[in-house]
Amino acid sequence: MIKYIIASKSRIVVFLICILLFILPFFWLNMGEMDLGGDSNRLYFYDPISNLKAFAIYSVVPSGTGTVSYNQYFIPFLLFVAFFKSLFHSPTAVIDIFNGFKLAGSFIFMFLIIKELFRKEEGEKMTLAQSAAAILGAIFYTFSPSVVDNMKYALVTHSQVFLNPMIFYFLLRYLTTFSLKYVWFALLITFIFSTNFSLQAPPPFFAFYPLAIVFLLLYNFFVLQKPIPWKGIIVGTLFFLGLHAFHLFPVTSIVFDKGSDFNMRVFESTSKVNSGLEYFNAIRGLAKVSEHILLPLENKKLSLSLIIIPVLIMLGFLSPKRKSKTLLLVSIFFFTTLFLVSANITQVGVEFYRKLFSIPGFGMFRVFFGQWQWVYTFFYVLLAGLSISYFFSRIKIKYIYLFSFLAIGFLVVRSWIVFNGEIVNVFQRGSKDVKVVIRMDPNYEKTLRYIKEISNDGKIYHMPFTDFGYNIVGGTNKGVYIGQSMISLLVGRDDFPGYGNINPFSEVFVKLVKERNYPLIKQMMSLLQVRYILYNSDEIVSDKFFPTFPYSYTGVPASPSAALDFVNNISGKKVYEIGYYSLFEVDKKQYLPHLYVVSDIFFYDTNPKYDVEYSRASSFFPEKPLDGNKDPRIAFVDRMICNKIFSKQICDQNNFHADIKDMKITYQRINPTKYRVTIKNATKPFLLVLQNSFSPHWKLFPTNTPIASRNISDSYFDGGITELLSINQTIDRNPFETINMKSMNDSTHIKVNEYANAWYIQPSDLSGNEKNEIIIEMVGQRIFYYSFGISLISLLVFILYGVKLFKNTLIH
Amino acid sequence: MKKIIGKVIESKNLKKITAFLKENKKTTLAMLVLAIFVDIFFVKVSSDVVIFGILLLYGIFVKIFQIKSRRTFLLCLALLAAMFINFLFTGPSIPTEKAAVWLILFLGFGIIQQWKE
Repeated sequence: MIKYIIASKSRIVVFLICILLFILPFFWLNMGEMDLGGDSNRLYFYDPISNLKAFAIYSVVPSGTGTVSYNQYFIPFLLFVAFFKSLFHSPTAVIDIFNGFKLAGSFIFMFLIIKELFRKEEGEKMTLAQSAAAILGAIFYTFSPSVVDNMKYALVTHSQVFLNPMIFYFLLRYLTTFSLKYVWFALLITFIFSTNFSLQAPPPFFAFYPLAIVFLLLYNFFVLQKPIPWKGIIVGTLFFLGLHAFHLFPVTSIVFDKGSDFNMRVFESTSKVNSGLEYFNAIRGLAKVSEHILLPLENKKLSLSLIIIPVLIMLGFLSPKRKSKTLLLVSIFFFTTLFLVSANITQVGVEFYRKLFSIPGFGMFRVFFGQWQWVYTFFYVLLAGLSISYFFSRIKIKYIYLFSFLAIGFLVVRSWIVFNGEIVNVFQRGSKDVKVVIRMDPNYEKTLRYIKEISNDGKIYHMPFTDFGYNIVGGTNKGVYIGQSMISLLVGRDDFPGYGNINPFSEVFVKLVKERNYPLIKQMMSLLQVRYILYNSDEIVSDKFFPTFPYSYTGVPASPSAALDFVNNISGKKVYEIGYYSLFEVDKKQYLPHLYVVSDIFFYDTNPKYDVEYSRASSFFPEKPLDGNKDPRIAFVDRMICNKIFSKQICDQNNFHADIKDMKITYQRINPTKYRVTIKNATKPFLLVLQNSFSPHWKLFPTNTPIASRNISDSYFDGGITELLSINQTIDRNPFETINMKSMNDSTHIKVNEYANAWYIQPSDLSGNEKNEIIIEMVGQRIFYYSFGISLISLLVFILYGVKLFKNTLIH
Repeated sequence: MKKIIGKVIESKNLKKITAFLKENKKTTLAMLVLAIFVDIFFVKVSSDVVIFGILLLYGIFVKIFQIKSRRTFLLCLALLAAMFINFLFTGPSIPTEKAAVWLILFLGFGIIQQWKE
């Protein structure tokens, strides 16, 4: 390896640049500091295994009302991060390593791709002009806004900055050599970074790979003039489907489930409102063709350096050369992606772009300048590399050095934030100089541990309460984390950190907060299963440091004293306190556990005015609170749904009282997708509510096996409901126990309170015994188990195949 | 259709026009370039008729005057300079965007032209 590197000057330069780029991120953060926030958070760097257990194994989101979502695509990636964490024991080091991968990986694979394209153009040996052009192109890519500007608040898919060139390079090498080991490497990388190849976050995948594969096939056909490599295509596709079955199949299985997120995403263009097109029309003006040509960085819009690469490209086109099919092909893809990323190229172009939104699934590209930026930058850099090499091949060596140093110098100066660490050391948007980078507060860690130990499954309401749904937590270094909830993603407990999480009550809550109507706020919390309020008195997360964002909309007090006053008005006693963090418990009389039987059903007609996300509860939420002595076990049922289970006579009434006086239920959480319930004395029809987001995949299964462990966690309504200690298995030990059972009451499975699951059960539906055992299971989880099995077998075969491939390589 | 095109090409008037344009090649091309820059700097609205009209005209001139792709790329360089200067002083304003669109269209035109040469 070392011999190979020192054999050529250009290799030494490339190697040194690569090392430099890899170690640069180690200077960005001090030990103990972490950059974890953002829309998709990076809590997996802090504690990958807790994140895996809380979030990635079961198909119910541990946040808010617990919607069904298949997040298993995180599993290999989280295990990969956990591997590094076990080696270095420091989240900072792991963050640095992954940032190093991004910079060094971007550079080296772009360099190798450009070099590979030259190999066909000019032959095996690279000239100085080509080496310089390839290095310049690769640096241009590494310091482009797609890589640099997205490093802060990086989404998990941001790894595409080096994954895209890496996979592309392996496939290109396969086309030129027909060696299947490159396909094997590419597949291995897709498996480890499965987050980038998931249907749950599809835009990065669908923006790059279809275009890249078409490019490679055309390159193979027109430039390499080789037959279609069917063997590689078939082997690659089969292994890809097998290795990724564990996340692809579960998500694909819900593509035709009306109401599922994925169905909406694919078919929204055919729905009554094409939200993708509307969104596109609204933001189209923000895309600027000039900015996509000059590629300015976010904080350095005006810089002389912007012109250097475009000018070199133009000079390349001006240099006389023979016809190049590669250049023509790259140019076609450059123009195509430029059109996709900028949209605003002539009115005809804009109209054509609008038509694209009628293609099912194209709506995912509604933030087009964000989604297409990586593939555009990729082809822009290929064009730059090829074109600049033509220019360099026509000038004297001393001028090649001059232009190269000049261009690299300009790019380095422009991207100085990469060298001084300002790339991640930024201030929170809308804040008064509050840093994004945090050191974890040990008291908050203790609070997380305390919450983990709570034996009941009551949900947590956060104070301060944010707009959108962000969790806001201060560090010990005056930095603040703003991102998805740490409690849900590290502990696995459902919570409500902000407006988005309390859907469908979001607008109701805003109204109640405005009116300071505490009794009704308590009632709303009861219907959301809120048992605890986590109050954070740290001033740095208050409106003093965040005057607008993220507190401007909901109106919930965000200063420590006002927030405490608010908490006192909606909660009972304080149960825990450490540092800035206190946990308050609500009045137990008002608390509705995860499963309850309804005593009063209220019927309502949906008001079309409130038939939208976040305000659906406005159709039914009462103007006055329930009488304090009344049983809070209530449910609100839309009259349209009511007609499915009750007679017209009952549905025409305002409410219906069910006699549940003697009924007793006992429930136990096995895991987030499975509950055991014992129902006693069910002599009359009753409505059983499960406070999880409605999904037809939640099913009831009658069973004869009694609950094994009966340690009581808590008891409610004078023993009417008993909650047993959760088993909380990391992996379900009996995943297929309901497989041969017939589900019951599917036809009376309805949505109540505009989000929760409920089953209307007649005594005749039960076995007739005094005591009935039921399993409530989200059966979609089974698809994951089956496909996980396929993936495990595929992985085994894949590894054996790899061993065979490399053994053959060694022999030859 | 072919007959009609043939007749148009053969027509005396067209030949006269072609001869006139050839005699005033530099002036014609200068007028065309001027029209592009006037559109960039002085016309606020963007019109596809103008854009594609000028492009079509340029395509015809390329045919008549046997203009090489090198010339087209030189025009691109000028458009790039215009776009960049505008960008430095006014940001991504209307003239900057117009220059960018002209640049992209002529770059595309130039690449096709170069491929055909």
